[in-house]
Amino acid sequence: MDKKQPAILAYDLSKEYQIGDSIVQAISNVNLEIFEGEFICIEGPSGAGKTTVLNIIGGLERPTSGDIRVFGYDLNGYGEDFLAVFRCVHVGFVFQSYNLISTLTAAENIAFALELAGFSDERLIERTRKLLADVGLSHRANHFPSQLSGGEQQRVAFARALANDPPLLLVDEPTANLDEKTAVEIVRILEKLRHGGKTVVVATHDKEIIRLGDRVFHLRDGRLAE
Amino acid sequence: MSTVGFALKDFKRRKAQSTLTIVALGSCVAATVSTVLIAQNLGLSIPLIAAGRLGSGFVSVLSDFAAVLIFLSFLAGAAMAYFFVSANMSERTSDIGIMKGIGCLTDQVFGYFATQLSLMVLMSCVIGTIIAVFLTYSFIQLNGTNLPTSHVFIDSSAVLISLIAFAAATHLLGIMPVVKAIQSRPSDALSPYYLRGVSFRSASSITSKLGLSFRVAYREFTRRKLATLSTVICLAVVISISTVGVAGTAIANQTTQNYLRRAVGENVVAIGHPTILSQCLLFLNQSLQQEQRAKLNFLDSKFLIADSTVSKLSNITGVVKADARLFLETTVIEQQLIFVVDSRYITVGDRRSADAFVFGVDSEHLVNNWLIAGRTLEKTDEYSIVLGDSLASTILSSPFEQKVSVLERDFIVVGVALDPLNLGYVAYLPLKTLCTAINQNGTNILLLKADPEVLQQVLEEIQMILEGTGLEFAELNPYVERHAGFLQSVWSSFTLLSIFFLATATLCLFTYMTQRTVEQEQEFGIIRALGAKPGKIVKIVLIQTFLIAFASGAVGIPIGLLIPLVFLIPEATISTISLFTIAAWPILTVCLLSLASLYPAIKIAHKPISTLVCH
Repeated sequence: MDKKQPAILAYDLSKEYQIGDSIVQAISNVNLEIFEGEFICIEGPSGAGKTTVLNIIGGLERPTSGDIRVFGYDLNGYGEDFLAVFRCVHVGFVFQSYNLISTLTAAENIAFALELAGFSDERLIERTRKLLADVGLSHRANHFPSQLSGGEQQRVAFARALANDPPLLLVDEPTANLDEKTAVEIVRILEKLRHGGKTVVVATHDKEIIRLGDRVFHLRDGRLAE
Repeated sequence: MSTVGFALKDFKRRKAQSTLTIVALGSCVAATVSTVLIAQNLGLSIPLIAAGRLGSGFVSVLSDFAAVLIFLSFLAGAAMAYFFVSANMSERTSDIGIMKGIGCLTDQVFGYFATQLSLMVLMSCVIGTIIAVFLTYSFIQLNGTNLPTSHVFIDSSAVLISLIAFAAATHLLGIMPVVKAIQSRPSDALSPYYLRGVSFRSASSITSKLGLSFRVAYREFTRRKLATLSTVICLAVVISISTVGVAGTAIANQTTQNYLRRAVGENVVAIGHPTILSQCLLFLNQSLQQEQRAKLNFLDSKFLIADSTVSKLSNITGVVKADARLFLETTVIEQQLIFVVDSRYITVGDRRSADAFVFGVDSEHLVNNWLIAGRTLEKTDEYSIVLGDSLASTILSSPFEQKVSVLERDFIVVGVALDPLNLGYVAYLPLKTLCTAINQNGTNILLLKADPEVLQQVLEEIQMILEGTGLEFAELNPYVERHAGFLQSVWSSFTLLSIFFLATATLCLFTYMTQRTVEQEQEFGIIRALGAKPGKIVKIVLIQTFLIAFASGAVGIPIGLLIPLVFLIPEATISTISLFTIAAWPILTVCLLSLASLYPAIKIAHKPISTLVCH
């Protein structure tokens, strides 16, 4: 049996936020080892620190203490410019509240990620069309986010995260704001991804998604347990 | 909760936004009120100061300029104030949506936010006025040596009127976004897209050759039409006023100096008896030193220049024109106009009179070329007269319909000329007519216009010819240039005023750009999360500001140039210096405004992404 390389290695991660005069401990001494191609679920109640863990893995935030290595890169040791390139090449994000750019159409939101990665115009158009078709939104290409439903916006967010074909996908509460029927569509997309060879980390408390996980981590009061 | 209680609590809990808005609004008030006060000190007082030093034509150009500057500065202040109140209220649209959503009555919501608007305007007006008074004092004191006045006066009624007008305009305009938000459905008011005013038009190609940063900035520029339009209008007004002040002043300065040179003539040498010559130079110096003139009999035969001397001097090689004149001091009297209307006599004018220097001139040999309303004298004219600007405005109501009486003869006014001689209290009539009127032939002053390339040789020859004649000569160029220098110092006050306003406007724009950048925080967070480097965010913000500054400049600069050229300065002269100013001004303005966004751009580029995304 092939021994897979660790994609994410987190050691003793802690993150504190200063809010006014008080300090809030978001996560505390989190240790994590995730291998390439694994589908991982991080489960926990609201405010447990799931988003913080994803943000640190994706290089959006730096931990207050502890080490984080993603695909061999020690994220604490690099500057903002490197982390930007790292995110562009290695990481796809799906945010909890979709976070589409309001002044861009669905197609442009997807194309934007490709533009950042330096795709040629021809490849960019072709890839955007394919991604829109994959999420079943070809007919909505020229619609602005406000003209799309919550489920459609989430599907555009998935297409954007996958645009550059990143090896790591970080998904934050993908069904939290959706109704049951729409949530099923998102679970289907995640099911497809499970067999796509990508490393996927999903923060969720949706049982349908947790069911898909190769492993499930439980986050309670900032502490992680498998 | 009472409306005032809500407004105060809201202010206290939104410290950053409240402070930013009050600072921005306060800056607008300070800019406008201090512009009014400084313009009053410099601009409107210039006519008072200059009344004894400049002719009415020059004073009129200066007063018009000052009045337009004050009007535009108020307009710019009101535009900026509307802009800030509107931006601040737009931010509250979602809160209004929430309040309506939980069942708050529309009148109550309106009361809360209208009270808050009033408090905001009141605080800004008080702070702005204090700053304005301080700025006015500092500005006049610091620039005392460069300005025609160092005495500061604060016109409390001007301050009060400015404030009332400002507060009224701000309330009127600021309430509009509140009403708009209150009238919207709660669901709309809560939508982020509604708040940001995104314009939904069919998208064009998703690619272009302009580069990623430019494309992102351009999309923001074109798809948020309402926000972009209000920003461009506001900035265009500010840029217009600054352009009137800087480029307009440069043109006005050159033009009025040109009026002066045209009125006296360039490379002109005056020749006459030493007493007459000194009187003549005294006329030119009137604006610089107010000396008492001696009473003279200008027609004394010892002051006359012999015809043979005039002939010799006229024939010097390099002399382009020889303009022999006879002049004297006399009273010019307004002739009453009598109309017959329905068999009734109506009289216009009341025989006003003024002492003036009257020149008898040969119209074919004039060395000067005035800026003139009407026409200059012609060969066939006999009882026609050209009046200096101050003389005409002092004694006549309708110069071209009335007649004047000089030496008991009536003359038709054919022209009113802008003339610096004797501060415009001069009159020109045909030499033959004057000689007939005084029953004496001859001339007492000769003006020679020389070719500038051989001026020195001409001067040497004049000196040789005048030896032993008892006559003297003086080159007029240095006197004209001294007079031009005085005009320049007066105009430079307007330039300083405009630069001051532009600096204040830049401060306001900086505050606005900070607000706008904060509004876009989430978007920039997403862009960075997708892999854009911090530098790209700075580039996008700079391009966005550049696009806005460019569009505003494209509207504001031509308007700012047209106002002085079309309405304020007749027969404008655009010299190389003016052209340089006109060319450099847009570049400086656009660069300065673009730089105003640099700080908020850098700040946002270095904020943690998670904070931006969760904005």
